[in-house]
This record gives sequence, structure tokens and C-alpha cells, in this order.
Amino acid sequence: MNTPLWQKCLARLENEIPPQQFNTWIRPLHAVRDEEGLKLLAPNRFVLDWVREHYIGKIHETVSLFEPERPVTVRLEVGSRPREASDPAGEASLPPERRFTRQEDRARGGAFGNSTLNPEFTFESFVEGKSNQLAKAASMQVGENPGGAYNPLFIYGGVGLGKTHLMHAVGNHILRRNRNARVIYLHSERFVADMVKALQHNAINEFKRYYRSVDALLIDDIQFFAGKERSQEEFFHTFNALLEGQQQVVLTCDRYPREVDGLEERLKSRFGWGLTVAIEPPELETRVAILMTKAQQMRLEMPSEVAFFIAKRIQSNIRELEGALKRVAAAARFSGRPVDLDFAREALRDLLAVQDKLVSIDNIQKTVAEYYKIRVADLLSPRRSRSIARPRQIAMALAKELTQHSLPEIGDAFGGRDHTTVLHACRKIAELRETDLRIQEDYTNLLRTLTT
Amino acid sequence: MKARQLPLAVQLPAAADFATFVPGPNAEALAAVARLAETAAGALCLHGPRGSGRTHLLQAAVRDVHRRGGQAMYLALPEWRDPGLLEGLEVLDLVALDGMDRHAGDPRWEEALFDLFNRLREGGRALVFALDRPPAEAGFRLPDLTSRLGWGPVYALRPLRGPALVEALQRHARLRGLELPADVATYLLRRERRDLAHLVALLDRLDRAALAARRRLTIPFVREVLGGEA
Repeated sequence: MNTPLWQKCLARLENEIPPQQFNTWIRPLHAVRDEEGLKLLAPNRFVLDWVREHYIGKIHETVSLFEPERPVTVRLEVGSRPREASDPAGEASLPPERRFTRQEDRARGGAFGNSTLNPEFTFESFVEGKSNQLAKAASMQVGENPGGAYNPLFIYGGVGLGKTHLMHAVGNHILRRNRNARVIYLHSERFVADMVKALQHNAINEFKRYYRSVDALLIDDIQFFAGKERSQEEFFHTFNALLEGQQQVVLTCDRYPREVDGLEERLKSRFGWGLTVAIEPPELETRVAILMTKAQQMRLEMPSEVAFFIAKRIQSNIRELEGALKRVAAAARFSGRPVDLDFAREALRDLLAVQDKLVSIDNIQKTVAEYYKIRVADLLSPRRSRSIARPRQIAMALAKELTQHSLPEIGDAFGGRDHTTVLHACRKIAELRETDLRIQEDYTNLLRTLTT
Repeated sequence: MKARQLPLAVQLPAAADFATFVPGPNAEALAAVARLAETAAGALCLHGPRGSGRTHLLQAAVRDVHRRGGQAMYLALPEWRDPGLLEGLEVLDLVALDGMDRHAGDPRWEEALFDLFNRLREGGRALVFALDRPPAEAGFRLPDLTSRLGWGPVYALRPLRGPALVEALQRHARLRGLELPADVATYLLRRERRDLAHLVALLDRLDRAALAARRRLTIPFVREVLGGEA
């Protein structure tokens, strides 16, 4: 929390600096009062330079306004407030719910790597399915027997499929078995950034010592090493040292190592020394199970038909599945309504609208023809036998319900029929759905197929 | 002819906070952003056309976190060329990125954004960002980044219409110490583009003119000020 002097300055500066600039340059600053004066911590060099160039005069002026009798020096530094030690004069005086403290202290302190294992990513919380079974089994082996079972463990697969979760689970498992183990998780970009920093500060030997002293090194998304030769070189040596010392290495990548362009051959071949496992996109049942698990974690009451609905509509990856669930949860919290199918459909309307652009008349005709085992050409033909006419009417009614097309447009798309024919079809089907169970069932089945 | 008094050169646009946001159809998005600011953890995506309230919500979130004693930063990305700006921002409690899709397709920016996403997430910090289009259509090439855009809830913001737009305009006027009668607001909506950003800019012009002429906002006065370019 900021010092009382800075609080007063802020109140004044807020009236003098336009809001956008204030929100960009002044709000990210953290003030510390010490014997030397007022220290303002900026999150990075860029902010520091900008504040120094544009606002330091004004800040000086304002500070001396509040402390006229003794001059206060204002210093700018790159840094952030310590996370746990709350400032007694500032933060502690706020009611608890308004304090900004976090459990972990993330002050970087110039060290490398700052391992950040997410304690929630465990094997227990990992939802297993056909698509990820093998990767999970291999990861568990490595967690049980780090440095021994498979080294390196190389997990690859598309974005948002759970690679990072498994990697953290390995790390958490190692820590659970040995609290003193040094497990470092980091993203490959961090490794590169740390190395660059070490080179700049003539600290490359410390960098090497640090990364070679760990019990397990987990590096995420190594495809970002591509084209960065110096980092690859450094990583190659680190990697060899760790393998020699029987320290565990776990790597993830968005594709099979051989397929990463811009990665040195010797690295590619070494990555294959241990075990390489793939994670595939989860199938429907796994997606449903993931949603149910996450909903439970969020304490959201969600019927399984809603989970099925979301899982069917969002097939791309788990991350987006999670995003959709969060949206439904937020809507439920906002409205206080229970989550049912209609509610979920409404809450995800925008998200699904993007996909709905994919529901075309063509697609409807194809799906209906397939369903009734007739040809699309039959639907478009003048034939009026019941076995063709009924499916045609259903397809028209679906086109009206699922697309934005007008009646004449739909008529055109069905072999140049009149719009009154389409209107009649819509009415007829609506009527039959009330009286004919078969038609009702067919219609719902088709609707589900088309919207998932 | 009497010389007009020159108004102050600097007119500060009103500071955006949650209280001054007229929700209209965006009540749920407002609640979600307010909650994100309160918990200062997680990600949230807003998308919508100009004038739908993106910037207002982002700045309100930054202001709210700061008011609670946290550190937060608002960045309008289209104004910047160097992604180095994003370094180290994970020390903040909340980062608000406006116009994030402006750099879609630029690999340096995409990697820097991707990296920032990871760092904020690892530190349990909050990220709220605004796009013109939904994440899947925002034009990013890095699939790793695109999938992260949908990590948190995604909200489509809809521009205000009708009475909500009148109310928003009146609120903006009040923040400038200006009384905007409903009939004048309705008049503005009839003759101008109905986009809040445009209307607020217009309001600033009217504010200056009213100040210089020492007049209240009436339909004849507004017609006189805007008439030249109508």
C-alpha cells in the first residue's frame, strides 16, 4: 500500500493528469517512504523512463506542496512492493477484504527462474480419458521415479489440451515425495529471457550453476526455442548436464520434436532419448467429465445435460471449454438463476454465434439427407412423395430456425421453391411436432446434431 | 461584435469508473469486470465495436484496483510499437490492455502478449483486455495465444441504444458539470452517429462552446455550434 504522502499526491495528480495517462503511468507506481525521501517503484524500465520524462516535475511539485518545510527527494526505481510484508501504515489499516496481499511472495529479487508450480495441478485433479491416458501414466511414472524412469519426458500435443497441467503434476508429485527437492517450472520464454539477462549482467556462470543444480527442470512450450540459437546452445549443455546427473527433465511442445522447425538436430535427437508421449484432443465423454469436475471445483450446480451441451459445442480445446464454463458460472452468479439448458444457451449466445455462422443451408440439407438416408438431390428435386417431402419440410423448418435466411432465400436454396411453400413447411412441421412423436424425435435429433 | 472568452485549453475527459458506466445491455459484463477487479485474479475478454464501453470498463477496473491499494495499469496498445513495454508487468495486480488485436499478426507482439499471459497467470494476477472482434476472429496467428484469449469468460459488449444512450450521455455531461436536458440529448442522437465515443467527443466540444459563450445547452445553441458542419 502507498504512503499517506503519496496518497495525498495521488488525489491531487488525478485532477491534473488526464485519466488515461493517469491510469497508464501513475496508477502502476508503488510508493515507499524511507529516510531518503519518497521512492516510486515502476513495474519496468519503460514506465520508469516515461514517468521520468513526462511527470517527474509535476510529482516533485506536488510532493513539495504537501511537505513545504523540508524538501523530500523523489527517486524512481524499477521494482514492486513486497507481497507479504504489508506496510503497517498503509495496507494494514484497510479492512481485510480490501488488502492486496497474496499467499506467496513473488518478489523476483534478481534470482533466476522463480519456480511457480501451481498446487492445483495434480494428478488427482487431472481428468483422464482415452486421449491423454498414456501421457498421464508416463507422467506418474516420472513423478514416482524422477531421473530414473524416463528422462527426458517429452509431452506433445495441440494448445490447451493439458500438457502444462501434467507437467505441474509431475513437479507437485516429486515435491510431495521429497519436500526438499528443487523443482523448477518455467516457460521456455523465461529461460531465454533469463539467459539474456545473465549474459547482459555477466552472470552466465551463475545461470549455469542455477539451472544445473535442480532436481527436476520442467520447461513448457519448447517450440519457442526455435530460431534462438544461443538459447538452444545453452539449453543443450544444461540438458546434458542434467541427464548426466540423473536429474529429471520434462519438456512440452505443441508438436512432435522432429517437426519443430528452427530447432537444432542434436537437440531434436536428444529429446527422443527418454519417452515421447502425445496428448490428443479429448473426446466428448472426457470433455463432459472435465466440465463436471471443474463445475464442482467452482461449486456450480450444473446438470449433466448442460455439460453435454457445452462439450458438444466447444470441441477445440480445454482452455476454451473452461472459458465457456466460467461464462456460464458468472451468468448464474449474476442472475441468481439455476443453470439449465436454456440458461446455458443464453449465456453462451455470443460465443456460439461465432460458430453458428457455420450452420448453413447446405449443411442442413446434407445432414437431413444423411439422417433420412436420401440424397441431397432428392431434397432439391420436384418429387413430392411422402418419403422425400417430409424430410424436405423438416430441412426447411430447420433452415428457418437455425439461419438468418429469409423465406424466399430458403425457397431458392431448395430447388427454387416459392416462399409460401417454405412457410407452409414451417407450419406443417410445427403442427406435426405436437402430434407426431416420430417427427418430434427426428426434429430434435437433427437440431442437436446441427447445433453441436 | 463581442470577442468570445477563450476557455481553458485543457479539458479533462471525465474519469471512468464503474459507477458512471451505464450498463444497458452490458450489465453482466459490468458485473464480471467489477468482480475481476475485486478479486484481482484471472482473465477476462471484452469485445465490441467502438463506443460500446470497452475503454470505460478497462479504466474503471484499473481505478478500482488502485483505490483498493493495489497496483494496476491501463495500456492502449495501438499507441505503442515496442512490445518491450509489456515486460515485468506481472508484478501488477491487474493489467488492462485496450485494442489488443491491433497488433495481431505481428509475431513480436504476439509472443510478448503470450508471454505476459503466462506470467500473469503463473502469478495469479488479473488481465482484462479488449478486442474489436471475438477472440477466434481477432486475427492472431499464434494458436497458443488465441487459445489463451478464451481462457476466462468472454463478453460481447453491445452499444447503448435509446434511453440508455440518453442516460449515458447525460451522465457524461454531469461529470463535466454540464446540464444536458433530455430533449437536447435526444436531438443529438437524432442528428449524430449513435456511438457513445463520438457523442462524448461532441459533448466536449459543446462543453467548450458553452463555457466560452456562457450559454446553457439548448437545442438552438447546439444547432448553432454544430450547425456549420451538419
